[in-house]
Amino acid sequence: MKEQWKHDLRTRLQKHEVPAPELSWNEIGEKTGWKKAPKRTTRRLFYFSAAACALLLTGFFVVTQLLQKEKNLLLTDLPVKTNKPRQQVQAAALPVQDVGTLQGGEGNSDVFVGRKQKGTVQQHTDKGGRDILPALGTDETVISEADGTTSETALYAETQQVLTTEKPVEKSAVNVASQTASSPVIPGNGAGENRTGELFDKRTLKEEPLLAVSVYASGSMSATGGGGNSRMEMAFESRFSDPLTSVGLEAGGYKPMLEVPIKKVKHQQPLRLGMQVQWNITPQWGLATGLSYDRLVSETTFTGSESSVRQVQKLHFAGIPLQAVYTFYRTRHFRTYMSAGGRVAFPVGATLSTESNALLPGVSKHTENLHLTRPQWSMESAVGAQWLPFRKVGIYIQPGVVRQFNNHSGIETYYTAHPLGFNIDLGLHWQLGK
Amino acid sequence: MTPPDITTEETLVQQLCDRQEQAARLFYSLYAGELSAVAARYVGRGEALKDVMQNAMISVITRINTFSYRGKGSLKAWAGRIVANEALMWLRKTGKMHWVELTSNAEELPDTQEELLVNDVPAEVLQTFIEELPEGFRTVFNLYVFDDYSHKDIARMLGISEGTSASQLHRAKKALAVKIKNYINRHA
Repeated sequence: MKEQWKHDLRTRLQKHEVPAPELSWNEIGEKTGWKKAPKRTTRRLFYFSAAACALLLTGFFVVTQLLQKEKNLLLTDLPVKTNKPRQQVQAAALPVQDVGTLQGGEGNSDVFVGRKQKGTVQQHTDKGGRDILPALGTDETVISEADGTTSETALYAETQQVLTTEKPVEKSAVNVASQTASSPVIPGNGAGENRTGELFDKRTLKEEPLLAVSVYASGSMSATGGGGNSRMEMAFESRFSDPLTSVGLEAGGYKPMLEVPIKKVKHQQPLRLGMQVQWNITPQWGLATGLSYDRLVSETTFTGSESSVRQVQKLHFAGIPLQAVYTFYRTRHFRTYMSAGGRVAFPVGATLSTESNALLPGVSKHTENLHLTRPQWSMESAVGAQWLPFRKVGIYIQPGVVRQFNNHSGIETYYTAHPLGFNIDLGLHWQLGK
Repeated sequence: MTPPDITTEETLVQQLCDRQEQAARLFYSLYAGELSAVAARYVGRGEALKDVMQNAMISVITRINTFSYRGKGSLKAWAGRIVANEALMWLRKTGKMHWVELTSNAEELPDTQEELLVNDVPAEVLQTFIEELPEGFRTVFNLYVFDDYSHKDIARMLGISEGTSASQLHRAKKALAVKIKNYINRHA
């Protein structure tokens, strides 16, 4: 080969390096007019802020989880505190501050439908002096405790107590039960006797773990219910598995199987709108955060033999994501990347619309505000592709997977039904700066 | 320094176009070693090398808009040309290029049979040998060998005749051959 030495020499020194001199970057900057890189202090401040945010979010999450666990533990040990339901149900004309429907069930502790009205609670009493719990879907459903578990326990315990000590059933009870169709009848003395001490003792609470039984008996069917369909199935099965309850209820004069309302929950696909800002720390790594809005709509129907209730629950969340973004391929007009991080979404509004077609007086359509306080935490990971037809503007598509954590609010949402889900983000991308 | 992948090079170009200091520093940390070797072959080391690299870096940033990405390695190759140009300008400006015309002396005629045994010498040593050549020799030698210019192109670039260019190359090659031979004899 002609001039082989030339080829060899080029090959030998092609990637040869020598120590590079230190440059005067200030002079280069002055002559080229570049954008100054963030000063070390600024960069340090950014890293510190990012770390502090991550720490705060993690801490907040851990604390809320611990508090919730502690609260749940305390609830299981509370002996008394639940004489209110009994008193309110028995009182003939008791002034009521908080009247509404209970939301949720399992672990529920802070959600109460806040339709406040002053008035009286009409007592349903048969001729024999029995207390009749309100019919399905009526406005008269009363549970004063925001803790659904405790109230249900109380009523269950009450039922047990009554069933073991009750006198033979009178005909009048059968008549009333048939008139109210789906209204369960809890026998009682009707004289406002306070038997709280013997009904809500610690032992009863601990010995009866199947508290869900009281769902259909408490008359809180207009509530959305914490466990959804599975909850109702539990209740249904327990009626057959507990011979005492079954016999007792049948002796009460109504048909237990037919009167269990069928509950159906339908969650609409969540809608999210958001804005995100990404800061590229290096050409490949970036940090993204922003603001998002989530809208969750769920529809619950309770269908009884002669009445039905339809509830539409609308929840609105404002979320703050924090994600790390890694760009693994980039050309002038195309970019692919991966992102992973978390999001905390705070409830900013919630309504519950109830519509009933029960053949009972006083049933109406109304909308109530739900007071939610617990944030919704989630972890997200996604892969995105970005197309930049113009230098500064582009579009992107970002399919991903999301894991929603249970916030124990007791509210049934799409997230509680589908804690692990997939989503697709579509969006516009603007590149700021030069 | 590990060579950057396509993603990094393209991103780097885009950020250099945006005149980002961070990108300039990254560019220098990635390619400074190899680009300095190119410059050192023309001007040697020390302050001269620093001056050339400083000016080359400014040229890279100010002229990056004229660069079109053509695959992996194209950025480094383009920057290498910039460095070579800056080195030539520095040599002109400092007046350090001296040309020795080819004489009629028979012993100085090109020996076409002579080959450089470059594979027997480490790259660092070869680099040093080239840097030790007189400015005129090594300038033509570098343009001819590493930048692949013809004598015609070199003559036009340096304002000399083709014969002068050829003679500079011949002398440079011969001087290098002597150095290599001595080195091999010493380390045999």
